[in-house]
Order: sequence, then C-alpha cells, then structure tokens
Amino acid sequence: MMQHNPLYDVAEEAKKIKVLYEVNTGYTLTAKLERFFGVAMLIAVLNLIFILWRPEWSLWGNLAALTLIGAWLPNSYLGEKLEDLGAYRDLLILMLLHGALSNPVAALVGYLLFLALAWLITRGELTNTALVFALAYAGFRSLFDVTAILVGALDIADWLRIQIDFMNALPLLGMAVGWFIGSLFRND
Amino acid sequence: MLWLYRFLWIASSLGTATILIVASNPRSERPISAGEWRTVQQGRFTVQVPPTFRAHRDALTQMGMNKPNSPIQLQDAVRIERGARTGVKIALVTVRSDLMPVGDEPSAVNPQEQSGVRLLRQVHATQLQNLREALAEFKERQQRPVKVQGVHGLRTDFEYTLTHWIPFLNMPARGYLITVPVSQNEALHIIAYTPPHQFEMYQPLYERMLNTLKLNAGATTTAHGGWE
Repeated sequence: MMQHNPLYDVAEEAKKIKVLYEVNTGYTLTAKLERFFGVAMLIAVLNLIFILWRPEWSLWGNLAALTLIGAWLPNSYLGEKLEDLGAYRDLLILMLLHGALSNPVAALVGYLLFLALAWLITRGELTNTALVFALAYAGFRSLFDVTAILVGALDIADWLRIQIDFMNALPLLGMAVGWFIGSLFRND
Repeated sequence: MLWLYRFLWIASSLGTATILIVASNPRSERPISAGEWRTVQQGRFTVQVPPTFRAHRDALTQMGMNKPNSPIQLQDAVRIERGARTGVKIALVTVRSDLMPVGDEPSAVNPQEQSGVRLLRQVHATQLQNLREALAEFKERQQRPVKVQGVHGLRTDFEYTLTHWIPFLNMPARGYLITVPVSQNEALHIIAYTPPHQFEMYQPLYERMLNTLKLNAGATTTAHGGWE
C-alpha cells in the first residue's frame, strides 16, 4: 500500500486555484489564445502589407507591429504582466542573445537552453514569465522575415548568419516596451 | 466578444496566407535599383550606389585583402554591400617592382604593351590566389577580357560557398573578379558577388555602379573616360 503523499494534496489545491482564476477572469486557454491571435494576427497582416509596399522600411514596420503585439500580450491574458524580477532578467537575457546571434530563432533556442539549465540547477524553482513573450516574438518576427525574404528585401543567408548586430534586436526591445506599457493597462 | 476575436484571427490568417502566396510569386519581386542612387565618397573612391546598398571602408576589409611581403600591396579598399553574399569590393593596389619576381624579358615587338599585359595577368592571378585561399569551395569558371570605362581589363567568373557553423546551412554564391590597370604601377580589383539565382539581376546594377566609379586624388581619368 502506497503512503499518502502530502504533495499530491497541494497539487490538487493548486489545480482548484487555477480553475478559480479562470472563473475569475472568464478565460480558458483557448479563449486566451483566440483573444491574443485575434488582435495580434490583425496587426501582423497589416505589417505584412506594409512590407510588401515598402520592403526597405521593414525594420520600422516590425518595430511598430511588435510593440503593439507586446502591448496586447498581457491584455489578452495569454501572457502575464511584466512585474516580477524574473521577467526582467529573462528579457535582458533574450536581448543579449538576440544581439549576439542576430537571429530570432537562435535567440529563442538559446533562451530555452538557459531555461532548461536554470530549471535543473534550481530544481524547478524558476519563473518563466517571459516564455510566452519569447515564443510570440520568435513566431511573429520569423513570419515578417520570411515575407521580407520572399519579396527580395532580405537574403536568406543574412537571416541565417550568426553575427553580433544589436540593431537587429530593436523590434525585440520595442515588443518589451509594449509589454511593459500593456501591463500598466491590464485590469485584474 | 469571443466570436469577434475568432473571426479576426481566422480572417487575418487567411490574409497572411494570401500575402505569402503573392510574395512568393517571382513577378512580385521589386526591382533592386528602385529609388534614387546616391553618391558615396570613401577614401580614394567616389561611386554612385543604389539606396539599399551600404558602403564600408574598414580595417578588416583592408587586412583581409593584403598580404605581407607580397609584390602587390593594397592601397585602399571599399565594400559596397547589401548582405553577406550581395555586394562589391573595390580595391586599389600598387605593384612594388622591388619585390616582383624576375620573369621573362619583354619581347622586342611593342615591349611596353607586352609588359602591361603581363603585369595585368600577374596582378589578376595574385588576387585570384587570395580569393582561392579566403573563400570556401572556390571554383573558377571562365576568364575573358573586359572593358571598364574604356579601359581593357581581365575578368574571371567564380563560384564559392558562404560557410555557416551548421554545415547544412552553407549557402552558394556566384561572383567575378575584374582587374583593370590604373597607371604604370597601380591596378584596380573589383570583386562582385551575388546569390546564384540573382546573378543576372544584379550584374547590370554592378556595371552601372562601376561606370560611375571615380578615383580621387592620386589618379586621373583620361579623355576617353578611363584611368591614366
């Protein structure tokens, strides 16, 4: 006969809290996803039209679009508010990785490796508030870059090249600023 | 409200798919030279470049193209590029006769011209050797005489691979080296490179760039528009 595990009870309690939270905000995960992508995809499609029109200004279009998407992320309830120290730490790591690698996917992979390593070191006691933010950034940035490659504004070799280029991380900074501003307006 | 978000993400996703299909059509590719060309002055060079190209004149370019104790010494170089495998490098080199290996004597028939052609071939071959050492999987395609601003020169087409630290992501590139004499002991190297599928598209652009190239103090142009 197995002994009663007190951690099991705590986990069950935690699940109830999650359900209560969803009841409180009124959003399940699907609803949160639909809320986020409803607005974010609209912003993205407008930016894609802008890239088709003015490919040479794609950096500024990406900056504006990702800032707005960042602002919508906490308000859609898909992402958490930018308020704990762990999220700022993760943003700094993402920014440094993006500047050093100059590729959104490489930066995401580097960040995931960092998270996995830190999770192992701290034995699971690690916040990963910025994970949703990092996934959203890598996804939308890659979509914008693919469009720029297709219209001939960006060579795929430049996108794949690993090099130090902090200017390329400017849209990430914009999205982080958007996340910060959006967090101020979220009504909990 | 949720039905509105649902409608928005479905409609936007369809819009995104449509835009990607339209963008992947080769006919929708914008001309590279769209927009006004600007004049760039960097060191010894003045050249007109399209708006999407950036001109750099840094120590790395110069160091990468110069070799110690070589009879051919780099004076000045500029990179005009759009990306890692799209651009032009222009280099002005000096031939040091004191370091030149002793070769065949010029023939009696028009010795000056014979000497000029031999020197041009030698300078061209030296730069090709530099490229062979610097670029991965360098393959020469063909060599032929060309004229740049009315001056006879030599052109060699080549292919190489732009290496990536993940070998699977290595990218092929195509280019050419043109060497033209500028004076008795100076020559100009023009190294142009593009992605293979865009070679024909970029070639007229590079030709237009080279036709606007001028050398600043230290060299003069002839009445025919070429260099003296």
